Amino acid sequence: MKFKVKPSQKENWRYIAFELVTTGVFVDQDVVKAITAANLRLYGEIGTSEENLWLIEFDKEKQRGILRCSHKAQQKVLAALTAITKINEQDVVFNVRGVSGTIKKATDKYLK
Amino acid sequence: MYDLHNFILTRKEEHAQYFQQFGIRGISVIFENNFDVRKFHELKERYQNLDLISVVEVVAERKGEVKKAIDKFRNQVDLIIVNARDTRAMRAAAEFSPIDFIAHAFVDQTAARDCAVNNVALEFDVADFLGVYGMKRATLISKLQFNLDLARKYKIPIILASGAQNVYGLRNATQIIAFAETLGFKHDEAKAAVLRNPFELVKRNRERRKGIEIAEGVKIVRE
Repeated sequence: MKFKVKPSQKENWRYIAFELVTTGVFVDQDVVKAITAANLRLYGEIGTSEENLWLIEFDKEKQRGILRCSHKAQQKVLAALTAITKINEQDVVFNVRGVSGTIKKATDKYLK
Repeated sequence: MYDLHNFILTRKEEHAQYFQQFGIRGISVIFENNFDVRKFHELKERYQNLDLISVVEVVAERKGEVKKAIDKFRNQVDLIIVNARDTRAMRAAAEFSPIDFIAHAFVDQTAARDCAVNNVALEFDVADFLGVYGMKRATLISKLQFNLDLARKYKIPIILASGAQNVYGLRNATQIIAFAETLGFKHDEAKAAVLRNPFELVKRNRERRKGIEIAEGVKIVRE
């Protein structure tokens, strides 16, 4: 039997469009490591598990990307991004350009 | 967003190009224990798209020094703030109503009560929390939560600013609000501390200097 999920039971995602303000050049693995470390430091393992984080895309040239999280954890993730000050010993700021409910809107509105 | 505790224009001016990117409309030009009118007007001409706010930050060790600074600068600048790193200066600042807010305001019960009576706001820098890790950050957060309780009890306005020395200390309003919520602020409190309170403080002081507000709560609406 196929297990059906009602639309109301589906996870609501939020897509956070961000850019890095830095003099360095980073790849997606660096960004993932920094985000994970910041979340683990602030909220621990249980807290981070509730966020369901996933880096959807990261443009290496423009240093911009989209991060997915659970809609309930949006503020927590924004706070963790605020707390990041360094990646690979280089100064960096995660500047959040906006938060949206769809990838399309996040890209069109905040990353173009 | 009005960032009232930001040192970029006086310490790292080349990073001023980033203000718009972070949604900052009003920015403080902080002078420590002095006020250079010429420099302030030069900056004002150079950054006409920004609302520049003249601020004197009093770094004092004695009550007398705070009083002297008030007499000297009150009519010249938009804001007078006191750096609370010295406890005596912090206590003195809480007792004087011409002081607008106490920076790095980790105050005690008595000072909080005085702040409420004299309408002195408390200010916290995001940079204070970003610069430390582990147990130090945890201690700082618990101090902030104690101060938050005091502010709620005595209805003291709170101001949140970046405290940035360069571009790497800048954060936009959304992020500061989210960070504040994580530290224990309610959403409305965080929003007021980042967006409403700083703007209203500057507006009120400018009206006072122009003679529109003649006393606490008394404004000239029409002559």
